[in-house]
Order: sequence, then structure tokens, then C-alpha cells
Amino acid sequence: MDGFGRYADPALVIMTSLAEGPKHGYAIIKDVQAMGGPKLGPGTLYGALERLEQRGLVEALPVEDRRRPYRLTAQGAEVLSVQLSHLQRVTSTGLVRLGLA
Amino acid sequence: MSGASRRARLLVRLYPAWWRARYGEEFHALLADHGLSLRCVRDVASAAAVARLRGDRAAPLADRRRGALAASLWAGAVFVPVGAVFARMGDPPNSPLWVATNAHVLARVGLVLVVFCAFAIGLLALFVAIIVVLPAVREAWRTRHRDLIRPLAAMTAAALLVVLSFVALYINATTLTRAQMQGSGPWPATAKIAIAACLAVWLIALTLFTGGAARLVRRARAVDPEDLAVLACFFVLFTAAGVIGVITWGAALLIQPPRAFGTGPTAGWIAMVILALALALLFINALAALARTRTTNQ
Repeated sequence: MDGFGRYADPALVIMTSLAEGPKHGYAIIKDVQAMGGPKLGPGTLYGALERLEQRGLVEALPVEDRRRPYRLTAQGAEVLSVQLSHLQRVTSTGLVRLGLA
Repeated sequence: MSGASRRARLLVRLYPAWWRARYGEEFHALLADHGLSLRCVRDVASAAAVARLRGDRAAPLADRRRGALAASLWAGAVFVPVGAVFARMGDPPNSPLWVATNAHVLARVGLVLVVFCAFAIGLLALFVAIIVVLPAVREAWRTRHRDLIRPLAAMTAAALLVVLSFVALYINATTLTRAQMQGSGPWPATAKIAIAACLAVWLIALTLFTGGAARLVRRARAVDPEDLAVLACFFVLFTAAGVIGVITWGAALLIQPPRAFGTGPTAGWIAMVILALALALLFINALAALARTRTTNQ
């Protein structure tokens, strides 16, 4: 997630949310909250969505009642799987070192 | 349109036109769903400031370059004449500025409008800078990281310098007024030296603050590397801050007896120095903006 700066963490949880299927902005905020992620503000959400869209990791779908759904692209799914695998390795190592796994 | 919808529309307007054209409608719908808490307003204002600083990355290079240059020219078009007018406010009543404003109502209204616009733009620039630097300051506070604490200390010292110089200027003005009222006459030489010293202090403070802010933004992980364009914003900000300083000077001249700050050629030369400084800052801003567009195009 190089070049995302402060939007790196929000971008990761947004992609995770979109892995389930297309969602519009408010649905993403609610889903991220439900999965225990950070409370995304509208500005942060669209800052991250804009960067994800520019890098071709998510794509916009046609507007439905003024709300535009977004979906994960194939490239986005690939990047997400690499990021999550990396996080999983870090988590497993940490748990082993703490004697919890 | 309901009150909440109108407030949401106002928040959307914080974003640049290219962003509103792409995301405006859906973002307005999201704000309507989400509701507008204080936290939400801060989040949107911060993201909008970043969007304005980044510019439209999808736009062709020529458009972005033109936009950066146009912004610099607009800043110059607004701030430089205002600075010039206010630096000349200490001139005698028979000077061209006062003769023109006393003769025409429109000229007087124009002068008030120019003052109002300069203050509004200056304060807006200050607000944008605070919003952008805020995450870096918060990170410095949270992590107590030495790399971040030092630039923060430099920025605080700079702010203190400016405050102290204003206090010194105020004491100087009141002392001179009292001396005049007691009939012992003004001390124009002291007043001119005080003004020159304050300008020097502001320059030092400007260097300290800009340098500190630039290092803080560069080192803080909380700030998007793309937001380094914030440097260009600081140049514009301090042009605005300089002009606000001149406006304060002008306002003080209106309140205090005109001779208290010293008039005549010295005031004219100081005004020229301020103008040259403002122009230099605008030129650097334009160059920084150009360099930024070149870097992002690579």
C-alpha cells in the first residue's frame, strides 16, 4: 500500500469490506464498524476510495438513487490477498512469540 | 432543501471543483445518511484540504501546471495590492490614496471590501494549514518522538516570537501616544527601529515556522507523502500572514495618532521590502508548484 500514507489503513479495511461484494459509502462505513475496524469518517472514506480507484484497485458502478456502489477489481483482490497474508504472518509470529499459539 | 442538507452541501463545497464533479453528488448523499457531527465536519474539512493541496492527479500535466500558476497569480493579485494599500496608510491625508478614497464612495467601499477579502483569505489559509498539520502534531504528541518534537518546538518558538513582537509593537505605540498627549512629542526614530525590528522578527519566525512545519510534515507517518505539496501552501500562508501583519499596522495607524509609527519615506521603503518579500514568496510558491507537478508526472 505504498503511497497511501494516512489512508493506508482505511484503504485496507475498505478493500476487506468490498471483498464481500459491491457496497456504497454508507454501507462500507457500517460494515467496517461491524467487523471491528476503525470508525471511518466520510472524508477519510472518500480520500481512500479516490486513491484506490486511481490505482485500479476498486471500480465505481452506476449510481443507484444518488448512491454509487464500488466493487473490488481483480487487481484489488490480488493486492488485498497479499496484504492480508502478510498481516497473517505477522499475527501468527506475534502470537507464537507471546506463547498464545 | 433542509438545514442538514444545506450544511452538507456547504461541506461538499470545501472540495475542489474537479473532485465535486466526480464525487460531489454521492458524497452529499453519504453526508445525508451519515449525519453531521463535529468529528465528521473535522474529518471532511481535513480531507477537503488535502484534496485541494494534492490537485487532480488524473488531469493532464499542462492543466495542473496551469492551475498551480493561476493559483499563485490569484494569490498575488489579492494579497500584493492589499499589502501595498495598507503599508501606505500611514501617509499624510493629502496623499493620493486618501484623496482618492475621500473623494469617491466607491473607492471607500472598495477599500473595505479589499480589507475584508484579505482577512477572510488569510484566515482560510491559516485554517487549511492547521487542518493539514494537525495529524502530524497529534502524532508528535502521542509518540513523543524526538524527530517530531524538535520541529514542533521550532514552530512554537516562532509563534511565540510573533506574539512577543506584537506585544512590543503595542507597548511602543501606547508609549508614543502617551508621550504625544503629555506634549513631549513623538520619537519617530524609536518607532521606525521598532517596526524594522518587528519585521526582522517576523522574518526569523517565518523561516523557523516554515522549516519546522516542513520537517514535521515530512517526518510524520500520519501524513500522506503526496501531501508534501503542503510546503507550497505554507508559502502562500505566510504571504497572507505578512499581509495580515501589514493590515494590523494599517489598522493601528487608523486608531493611534498617525505619527506614532513614523511616516514619510521610511514607511515607504518598509512597504517596498514587504512587497518584495511577498512577491519572492509567491515566485517560490509557483516554482514549488511547478516542481511538484513535474515530480508527480514522473
